[in-house]
Amino acid sequence: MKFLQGLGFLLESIFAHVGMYANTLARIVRAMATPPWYAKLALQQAEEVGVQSLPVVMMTALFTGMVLALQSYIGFHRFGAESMVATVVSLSMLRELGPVLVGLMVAGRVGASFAAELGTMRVSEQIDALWTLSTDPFRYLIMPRIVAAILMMPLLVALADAIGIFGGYVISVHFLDQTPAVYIENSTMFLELHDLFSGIVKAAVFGGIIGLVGCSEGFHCSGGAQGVGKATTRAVVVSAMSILIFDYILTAWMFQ
Amino acid sequence: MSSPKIRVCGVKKSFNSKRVLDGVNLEVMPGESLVVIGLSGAGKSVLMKCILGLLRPDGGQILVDGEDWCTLSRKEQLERMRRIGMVFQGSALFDSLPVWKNVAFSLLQRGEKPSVARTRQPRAGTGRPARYGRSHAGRAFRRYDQEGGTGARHLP
Repeated sequence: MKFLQGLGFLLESIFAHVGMYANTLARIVRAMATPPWYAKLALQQAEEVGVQSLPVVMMTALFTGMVLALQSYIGFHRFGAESMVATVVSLSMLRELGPVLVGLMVAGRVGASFAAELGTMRVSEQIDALWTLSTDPFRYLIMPRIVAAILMMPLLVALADAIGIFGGYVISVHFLDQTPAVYIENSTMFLELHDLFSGIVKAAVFGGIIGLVGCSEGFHCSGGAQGVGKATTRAVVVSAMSILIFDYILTAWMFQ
Repeated sequence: MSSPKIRVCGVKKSFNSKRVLDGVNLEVMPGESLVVIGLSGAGKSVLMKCILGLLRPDGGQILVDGEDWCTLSRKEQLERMRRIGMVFQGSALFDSLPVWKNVAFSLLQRGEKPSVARTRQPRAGTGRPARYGRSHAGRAFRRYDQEGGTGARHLP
């Protein structure tokens, strides 16, 4: 009986949160149709999401590319296909690892920041105060953040792709004795524009998820400091899980 | 006889099974002051938030200047909020903004240039701008900003 009760609570909570995200998304889409759009705030948030995330994203991409080259080389060496390392690195980075890893890192950094910031504003009544100052808190706080996340994620992923491939190049050429010309040729030989675009589309979707979940959790949080903590944790966990789930859905949709 | 500025008729509000407001009635005439006193958790803030449109009542009617606020859209409510001032229990100052931006927030949202908004604020009741650049408050804001302070709840 207790198990069923627990299951009921869990399902109720999941549906309540999915409803909350859907409601936030619907309000954002509706709000974008009419001014004010707070472009300056969106630019500030773009700096926060994009520029401030650069060190984390660059480190992640560089070491992912390096590890990928090393692991691929060890595997391919067993049947003499070392020349395929470059192709594996570039394809993996563009299609999967770039968008997913950058998405997870940005979810941890930016999603948590959105939830904590808006949650603190909620529990200290700053969001209510915005309303009393004739400012729609939804437009002022949520819209710029989501727009910034959607616009900046593709740029971050494009950069991460390039850095990841460069990391693979450094390992292959300087430690695994491959020639630079062959590595570069193999990197691009089997690539199609579709590979790049699929990663960019995924990045934009992941950016939307990070912004939507982080802002929704913070905006609707309650329960003082403890509530802000829970909202922040939930924002990171839900964003990360959603990124992985949507990665599968998008991959199945774009490559089948 | 003038009509009430605020009229609250039979307003009800519950959170889950907890009934906070159960048929509240009150009237505030123009120029009149009204004090609502009650124990912690009695519903004073909930009543205020219902009047402001921050919470939607489960039942009853709230008339401000004769308009039923419960039937207004969010956009219409926001437009009418310009006529209302609210001081929250915990001040609710925007702690990520410097003091002068807290003071000039409404002006900045209406498109006033920051350089102008920084030295002007609407004079209470008249809607006309009043310079406070040389006033005590103006000097205090300037000094506070120069000292690098942001987001203090209490002005120096």
